[in-house]
Amino acid sequence: MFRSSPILFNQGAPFVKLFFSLLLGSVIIFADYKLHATEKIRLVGNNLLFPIQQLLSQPGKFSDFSLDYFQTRSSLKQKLEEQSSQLDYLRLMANQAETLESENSHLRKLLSLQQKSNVKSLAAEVIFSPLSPSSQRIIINRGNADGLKSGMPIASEAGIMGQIVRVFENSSEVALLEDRDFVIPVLVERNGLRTVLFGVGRGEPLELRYVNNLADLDVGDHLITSGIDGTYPAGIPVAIISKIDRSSDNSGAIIACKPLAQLHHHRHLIVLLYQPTTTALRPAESETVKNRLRQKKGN
Amino acid sequence: MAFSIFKLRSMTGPFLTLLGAFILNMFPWGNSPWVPDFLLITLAFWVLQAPEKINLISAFVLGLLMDIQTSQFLGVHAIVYVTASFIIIYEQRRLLNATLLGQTFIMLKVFLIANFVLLLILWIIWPGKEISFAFIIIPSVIETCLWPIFKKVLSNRASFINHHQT
Repeated sequence: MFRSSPILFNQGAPFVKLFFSLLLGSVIIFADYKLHATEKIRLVGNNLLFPIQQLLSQPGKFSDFSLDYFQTRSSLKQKLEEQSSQLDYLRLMANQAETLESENSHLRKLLSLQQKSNVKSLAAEVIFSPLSPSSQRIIINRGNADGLKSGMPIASEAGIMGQIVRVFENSSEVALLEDRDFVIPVLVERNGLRTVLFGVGRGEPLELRYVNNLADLDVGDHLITSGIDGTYPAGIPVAIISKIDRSSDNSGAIIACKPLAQLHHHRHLIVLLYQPTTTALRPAESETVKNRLRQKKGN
Repeated sequence: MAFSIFKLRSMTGPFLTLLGAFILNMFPWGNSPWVPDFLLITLAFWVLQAPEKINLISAFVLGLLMDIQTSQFLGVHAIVYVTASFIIIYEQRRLLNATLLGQTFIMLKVFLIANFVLLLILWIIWPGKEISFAFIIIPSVIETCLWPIFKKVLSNRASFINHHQT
């Protein structure tokens, strides 16, 4: 019968194995980070793990449900009153919005501007947020099967929360605003100044970079999406300026912003089914270039 | 008959407990430094107790699984687990001869190195931001505190190995 070699001969540290494992690991990291060559493996692995993840997130859901169920009568009554007053207010606002909208569309027609279509949305639920020291991501329960695409924005009722970065069959991965290297083009609501908002890393405020030291910005200014890159629909609130440090040197002002959406306290959120429009026309070739090309061909 | 049960246990012991630890890791704990890596503790135990069954290759494969679960770059956890397993094999004699307290102190070192390597790799991929020490120290200390408990629970599953050796 086969038996493994006695423990005596297994002694000693496996330096060769360690070396090759580290080498292989580095190669795989490189293939994933630079070449994105491992998406297939990830897709298969995620499809295998998804049912378990879904199952394991059930207790949390159940506790939410039971908390809702056993709410006391008084708190419910209070909530009802609050909501009815809110409803009145919203009705008023809706009336106002209707008139504004009709006025707006009229003006748009006058200006013969492209009419913006309403963005369709889809409700989604957070399954879990993967443990990672470097990034801030969440997994939601909608995926390829629901028509989600990489790059679609995610929002809560308060504003933009992030963007889909990876789509699986029934789930997808969302990078939150705080995620490192997250970039979103924004507009200062007060004066229309266009800038770009950057995510710095977990737990740190967002940063407005490449802003002139003398730019007209104040603490408390609201930032909304500008819609310039075509990834985000225009006019959705994103963040509020929380701190401005106008340094005396030439490096420009350091402007810290706070996201308007509560990034870590939401269980339900909205996927905006907004197709990125990257069909901008290329600039027409000028006559001189055409002539040069013709000359080259002639030669 | 007795022999077949014995063999079955020796096959399923490490496999089932590692799977259990992986599922424990998959609970929606959230993303905070206070969440320990249960799979790392279980893996460390099996590498120490049954190095002929659970070796660097198993550590590598489990690391890849963990990378998919945490949606990290593939290979990050693989390198971390391989490094931790290597240190345990390197320190095997000291670990097996030490008292529980001494063993726990050596494990603190192993977990500290493992979590440091994790942050080091992420720092190499995305340089610039300083390494947050909370993510090295807090999980390491929690994993060290869990080590005696895991050892007690898993030793029950590992009893066949003690039979084997005596």
